Amino acid sequence: MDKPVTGTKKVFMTGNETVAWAALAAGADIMFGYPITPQNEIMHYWTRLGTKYGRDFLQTEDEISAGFTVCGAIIAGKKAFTATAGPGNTLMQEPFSMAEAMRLPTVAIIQQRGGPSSGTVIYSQQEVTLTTYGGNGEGHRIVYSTATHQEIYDYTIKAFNNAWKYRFPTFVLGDGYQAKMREPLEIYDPEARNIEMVIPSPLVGLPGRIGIEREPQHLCNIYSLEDELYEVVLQLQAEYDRMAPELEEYQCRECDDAEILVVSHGVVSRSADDAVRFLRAQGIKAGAFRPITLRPFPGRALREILQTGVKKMLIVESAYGQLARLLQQEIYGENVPVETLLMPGVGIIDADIISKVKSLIH
Amino acid sequence: MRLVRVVLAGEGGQGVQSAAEIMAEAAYEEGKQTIYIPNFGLEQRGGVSIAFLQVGDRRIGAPKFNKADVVAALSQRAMARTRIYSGPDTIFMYDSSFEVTEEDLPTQYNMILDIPAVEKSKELNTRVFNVIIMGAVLELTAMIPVEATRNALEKKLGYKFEKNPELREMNYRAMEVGRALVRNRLKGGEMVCASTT
Amino acid sequence: MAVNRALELLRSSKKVTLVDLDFVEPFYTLRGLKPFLQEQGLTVIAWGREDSFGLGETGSLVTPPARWAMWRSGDIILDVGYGAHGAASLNLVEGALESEELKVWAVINTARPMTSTVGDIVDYVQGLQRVDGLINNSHLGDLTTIEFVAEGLLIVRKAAKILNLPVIYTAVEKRLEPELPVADLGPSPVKVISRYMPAARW
Repeated sequence: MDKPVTGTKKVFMTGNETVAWAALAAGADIMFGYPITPQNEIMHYWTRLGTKYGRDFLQTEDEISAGFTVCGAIIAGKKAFTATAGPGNTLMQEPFSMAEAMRLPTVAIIQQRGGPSSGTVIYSQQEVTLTTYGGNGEGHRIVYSTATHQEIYDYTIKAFNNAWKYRFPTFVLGDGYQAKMREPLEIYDPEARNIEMVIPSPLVGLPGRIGIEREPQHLCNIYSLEDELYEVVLQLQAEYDRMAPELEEYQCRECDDAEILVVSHGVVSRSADDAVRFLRAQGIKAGAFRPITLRPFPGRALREILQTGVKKMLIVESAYGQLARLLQQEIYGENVPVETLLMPGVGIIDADIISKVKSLIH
Repeated sequence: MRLVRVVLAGEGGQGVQSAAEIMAEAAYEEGKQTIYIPNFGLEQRGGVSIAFLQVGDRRIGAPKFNKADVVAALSQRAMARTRIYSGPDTIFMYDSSFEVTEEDLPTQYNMILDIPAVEKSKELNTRVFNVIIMGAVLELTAMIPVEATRNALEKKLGYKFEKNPELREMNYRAMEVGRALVRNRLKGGEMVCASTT
Repeated sequence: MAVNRALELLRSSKKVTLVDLDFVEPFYTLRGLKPFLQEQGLTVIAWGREDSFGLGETGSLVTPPARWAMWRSGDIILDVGYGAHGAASLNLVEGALESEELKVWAVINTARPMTSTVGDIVDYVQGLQRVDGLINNSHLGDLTTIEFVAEGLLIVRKAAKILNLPVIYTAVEKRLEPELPVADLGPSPVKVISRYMPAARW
């Protein structure tokens, strides 16, 4: 069968369409989904394009089912994924918790919308807490926060590979703006760029007689005694800590001698970059730090940057403190004063950040 | 009275929790401070069933504890599961019918004893096996007067006794059997006592 | 496209109505522009939040004025929007599919992988219910070059030939207007368009 993407091609499309193409290029076998704005078009494009390449789709009765069917398909050995937003994300925490318990490589694209509850259908960064620590577990997840369509493409492919390699539920955290806006990017065949693509295999029904040629596969999400669970959770944490350094990613613009450090993630980091460029031109020593992985959070890197003479940190997000809380637990003990620009559900432009920085300086 | 700590453990359906509840109720009626907490698995039938019971005069801090004064295992599987609660001062009790191996027994104990409760229960009714064990535990700890326990039994099972008054007698007998089994054992020897190592 | 065409018509016509039928991204379309366009003299039928108060997410409406738009006098532009199922919404406008006066033009951007080759464009257009012509709007946003537009035109023309449809025009952004005389964009007309869509944050 033909590959959906060959070589490299310059294209112009929405974020949602980009997700569909990336999933195709990553070799995803099946998508389970349920409609919710603003990610519906991922489903629409996947079903429209996927049939040409033998890919499958099932619309489930709700998001709880969509998440669990992804888990099931993975256990059967298929690269499965889903996408959701807002209240759908809330519902999916149950299957995501199972994926944490059983170490299943689920891939989910989240397009944040206003919250709480139905909020708005438009945009926010208010699903950070939910996507990083939303289940009834300890947040053993990989979460990528993208800022451009190119990243949506790159990190969706990476999500499949890293989910299957490290066996933690993996998320691409976008938002309604990224979902719907259009911008140019390059789509490509990852193998043509020497990106090693993981080959999935079933987790049960393996060859060999149980008890004789091999041990049984125990995909467990429940235990009888407290002590059993205690051991399991400690082990999960140990594995997670071991893998974290391989997974952490971040970006820093003009951080070397920054006195005021603007911290943001996702689409807001684009405005932060523009703001920092402008402020520097005016002689203000501003820098922009952007975690790309919200889990595992690049806390070490941030601490190092803070040591280089940062006098103040400004946390900027389209939520009321979700990034700030995530960050503060990572840099506990650092003495840098922290300011915030919190605009839940509202887009943030460079002018907003510039005027806030200036108000902090004067 | 000093704080008394008891662990009862067995399979789901053996009446472990019922026995613990009755003792806790009895202690409460006596004006004692008491906490009882169950630990069990998800199975609808069978599976693990453990009860942690504490009785004392002062308010009790936590529902869990590290070492018990008495551990009573109602099934063989429960022995391995509860041996960790046995410390230098613990009396570890199990049924004579179990085929016990090294792994089932605790490494730390004050006393290990076995009583033929299963055998005796066959003379009465196998269903009162847990009440025999309850009698044994009461004899070992002396934490609650017998009268109080009888009242608690009445409270919990009274509705069954109304229908079948013979059950009342049977349960009271079962309690006495349990107490007697312990007394005999303690008098007659043949139990393992802590060494000085 | 629709906004540009509507404003163009306004110069020569007394009455122009612009109808927003984009259900995929309703909040991206004419809502923000409505006051500006109305000032220019356009009649704009686009639902706003105030019209669907209380319906929240499900408030993506075909309002009665939109449904009966074909009954109006003067020029009418229906903006059906981007997306996998865009043209299906013509179903919702009374008389649209049957009207002889109405022309349905498919706007093609070869930078979208779904319509980047001749074969893809033919499949795509055949999947729409009714198309009377193609418009070449090949672009890459800010990265558009005049060459890209011209290459797109070649592809669109080949597809149009197979479909037996005319290429109505090629759209070129105002920014690239200076390069027009040397570019090979014939024989269909070229229209210079402006970007009216509000920056909408991004």
